[in-house]
Amino acid sequence: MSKNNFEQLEEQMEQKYDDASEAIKQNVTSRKGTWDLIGDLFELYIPQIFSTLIGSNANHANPGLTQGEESDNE
Amino acid sequence: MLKFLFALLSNGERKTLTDEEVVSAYLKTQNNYYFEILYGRYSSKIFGKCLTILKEESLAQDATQDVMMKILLNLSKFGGKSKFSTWVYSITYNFCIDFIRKKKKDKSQYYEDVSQFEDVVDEVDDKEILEIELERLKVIMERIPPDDKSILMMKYLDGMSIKEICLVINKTESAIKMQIKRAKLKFVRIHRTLYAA
Repeated sequence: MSKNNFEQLEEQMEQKYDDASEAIKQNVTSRKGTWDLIGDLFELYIPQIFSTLIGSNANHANPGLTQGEESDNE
Repeated sequence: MLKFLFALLSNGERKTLTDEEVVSAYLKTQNNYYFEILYGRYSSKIFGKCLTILKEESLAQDATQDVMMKILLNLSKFGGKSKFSTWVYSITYNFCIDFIRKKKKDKSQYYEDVSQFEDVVDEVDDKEILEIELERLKVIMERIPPDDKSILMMKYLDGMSIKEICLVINKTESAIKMQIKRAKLKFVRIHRTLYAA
């Protein structure tokens, strides 16, 4: 099927992509790598940060109590 | 030998998987291989559209990178309401239009001239637009406002239906029909102004 004039124009524009393709791909790959790293860090450390925060909040609520005393009171 | 067989198999898979299958495989596995397939299928098309709308290669290059990242980060939001290609192009068009609006760079002298004709709503035949020579089309597309350029590209290049364009631009059907009518009119007016003889 023959291409209409809009499709031909896009084809011409796409031909210019070859010169830029390597730079674009490198940039996308490195940005993707950064996002993946951020995602991994979140996955790894967020649960730990939460458990630390919860732990410190519990200590603030009952500042004088040690773990043993807490269980005695119960 | 094994490497060759694997390459052959994966090459076959690359060709046979639909976009939607690739997206769901990527979301399940987060394997870069699937993103590479989508990248290979769409990056040059995105670049072509960005270059047509933004007119500068360096801007088109940056825009292609940003659009690819937007697609990657929003893949999980692709709900399958439209074809994947329509979804990708809607991100591309909206990105380019927003970019131009922010920069307010693209002010051709013809924009004001053609706005005078906005109230005249004639019916322009598709044939008249599709029969324009490539070199002339290029010149006209450089002078037409980005919103109108994008809507004409959606219609004549991507073959989107009115409903699909509604999803992309987020307007009602009647508003889209009117916008297309006006874009066609501007297109023909510019053509007649430039090539009257």
